[in-house]
Amino acid sequence: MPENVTPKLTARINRVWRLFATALSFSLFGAGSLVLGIVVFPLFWILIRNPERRRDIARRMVTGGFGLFVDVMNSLGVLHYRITGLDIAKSARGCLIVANHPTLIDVVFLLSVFRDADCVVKSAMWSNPFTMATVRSIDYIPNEDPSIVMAECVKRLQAGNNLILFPEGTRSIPGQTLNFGRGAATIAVRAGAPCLPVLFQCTPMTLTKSEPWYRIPAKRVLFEMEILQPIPVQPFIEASTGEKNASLALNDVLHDTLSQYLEITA
Amino acid sequence: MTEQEIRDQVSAILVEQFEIDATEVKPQAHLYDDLGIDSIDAVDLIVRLKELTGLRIPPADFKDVRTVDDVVQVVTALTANS
Repeated sequence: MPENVTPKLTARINRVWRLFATALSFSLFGAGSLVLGIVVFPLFWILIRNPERRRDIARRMVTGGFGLFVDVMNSLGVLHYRITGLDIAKSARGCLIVANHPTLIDVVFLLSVFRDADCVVKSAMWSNPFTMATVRSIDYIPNEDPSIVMAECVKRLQAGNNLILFPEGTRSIPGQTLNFGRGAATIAVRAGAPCLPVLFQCTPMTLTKSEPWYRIPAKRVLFEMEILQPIPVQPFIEASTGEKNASLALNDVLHDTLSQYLEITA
Repeated sequence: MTEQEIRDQVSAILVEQFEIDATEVKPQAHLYDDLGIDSIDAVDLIVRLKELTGLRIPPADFKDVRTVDDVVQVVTALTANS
């Protein structure tokens, strides 16, 4: 029997286990979301009349649930994770959280850390019976008319909330340079809100836009989330003529801040 | 509002708010290629047009808009329907 059979076999068993563990994790996530969506949050809607209190409890539950999901994936061997800059996250108020978007679960990591963050989500969730109680209780921003979305984002930031945006608008294409629209930077400039760049790196790459969840990587994934130093917007407003130029300049800096760490192959 | 009034309003917005040279604002000028209007500018343009005309302008109506004249045509059609 050749010597390398045993490590190969071990790797194979490990891969099968991770496929099973990934399926189990996502099933738990689905089941948890369903129970919250059609039992817990509808009850909140009826029982808790104060919208701020309801929102606060709902956000706490989502942060707790997402934190649990991350820990389950870690315990089952689906992934390892490393989060740095937690102290920066803890003191963030009225910040625009700007992240690159390599995988399906970036937002899970973000919301497991930023309890009070606002998100912009698909407006169809407000009329879907499985999700309507959740998005209404938690008071996220429905993505509909862009002028209304932008105005609402500015309002939330000015009220002191943190807001999560992915300037790529969708998941990254692996190995390619990040493609940032200036919408996020424009919102920061209009609100006068500092930007908090968050860098995601995932090795080996998994859960990208073009892959189904069951395409399991060769080895256990290391998921890194790095909360970087905040970038104030005032200098961009002072150095530029007009809001458009300020937002273009800020967008370039946000893009370069996050891109510099990424390996570009294409 | 007549088509000519709408045309004047659109030109005025492009010149005043977006600081585009009045001589460049021709009916066939492309908003993106010729005038440097990006998607965020387009959102702001629709907001201004809403304010000026009092119309509800669904963003989807602007999906196929490419030129200055396209903007005028969309707004003219909306005015006629309201």
